[in-house]
Amino acid sequence: MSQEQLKEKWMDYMNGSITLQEWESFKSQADPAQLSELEGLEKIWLAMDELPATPEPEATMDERFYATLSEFRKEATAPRGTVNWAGILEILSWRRLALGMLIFAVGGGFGYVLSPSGEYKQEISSLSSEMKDMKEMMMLTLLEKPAVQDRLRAVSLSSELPEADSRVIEALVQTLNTDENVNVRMVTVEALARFGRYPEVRQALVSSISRQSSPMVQIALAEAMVALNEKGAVEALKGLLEKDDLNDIVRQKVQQSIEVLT
Amino acid sequence: MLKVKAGDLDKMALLYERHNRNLFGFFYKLTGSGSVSEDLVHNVFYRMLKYRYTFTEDTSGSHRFTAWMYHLARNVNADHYKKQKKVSYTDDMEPWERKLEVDENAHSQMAKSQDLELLQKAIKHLAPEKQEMLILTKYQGMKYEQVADIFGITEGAVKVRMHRVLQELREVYLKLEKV
Repeated sequence: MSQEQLKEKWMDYMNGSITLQEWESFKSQADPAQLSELEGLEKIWLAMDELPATPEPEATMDERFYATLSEFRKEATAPRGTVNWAGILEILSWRRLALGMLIFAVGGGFGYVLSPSGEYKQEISSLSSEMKDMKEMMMLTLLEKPAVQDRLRAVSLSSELPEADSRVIEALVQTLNTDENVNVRMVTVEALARFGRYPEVRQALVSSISRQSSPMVQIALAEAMVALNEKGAVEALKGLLEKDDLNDIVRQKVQQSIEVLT
Repeated sequence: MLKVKAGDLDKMALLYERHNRNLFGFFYKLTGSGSVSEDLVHNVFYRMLKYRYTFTEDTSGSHRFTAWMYHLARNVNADHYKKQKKVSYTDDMEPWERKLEVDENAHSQMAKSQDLELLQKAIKHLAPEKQEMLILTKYQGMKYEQVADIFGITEGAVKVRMHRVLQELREVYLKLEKV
């Protein structure tokens, strides 16, 4: 038996993995010289048994444990979503709170100093109004241009206007009823539908239904009526159905629109 | 422990009653102080409650909880030593050797109680990890397999280390004996 094997068996014996008899059996096969080192270690190992026994802990150890367990129980049974304000205040010490408030105050001060003055605000408002007038003027001018592109651009400009005054609405309604180009009339339907909150616009769209001969514009108007939920358009749409030359697809679309509105 | 993890905290009381004395013994052998050991036992059970969600059962059987408990205990012990910073653990015995005055008859003159005191001193001068392994195998009655689980090493490695620990302990003891 090698020294390493003997050591391993001794370690097993020390740990109770093999019995004393088994160990004695291994020892008898070993060279006495091999055993000398192990005997020294065995003395130490056995001497450790003589060391003073561990005393009993104080009762306070148990008391502390049960107090801690009770705290964890309370925490576990606390309703979800409860805000632990005490914990938050503990984390946010007065120093941190004071620093936070100081930063907030400095930020507020900068904001006040750098914010636009009343006069400045008035100037901005004035400029904004001027811009609106310019766009409106440009739109009205472009609508009278012979080029289709210009008139399309004019209609699209109307979508940039936050509010539509009577001049703009009148110009758009006239374009819808008189412009010779189908595309211009179609985008005009869309532009007017955006101002559907005005009763005069709704009325103008309803009136325009009987005037349109283009199937595309007819469909666009029928869809706009449904989108605006304009029930007043039902009669005008029914009038369209009476036309003998009405496109089949338009007829179908108009019938669907009437069903939705009635 | 799985029931504790699932929210049945009352089961932690059973685990405490079952293991607190062993744990106290482990810390007492390491620190030699009852009050410190009580604090450390409390810390271990506090961590068990706090980190109960991290406990995982595996197929190795019933020793899993014990391994986890002593794993936490070793961390608590390490934190304790860091906080104390009183004792410097070193394998180098030169500082002791400088104090030595060789007396051939010293051994024979020492009383048994003095021998045991020396043995205690010698254990205290082992590195904390070596002390832990020694205490777990000697006083906690653990098998090498369980110790291996706690230290995250193989059973064979535990045997090798334990043999070295005992050799070192004997060497330190013999040196102290000559003081």
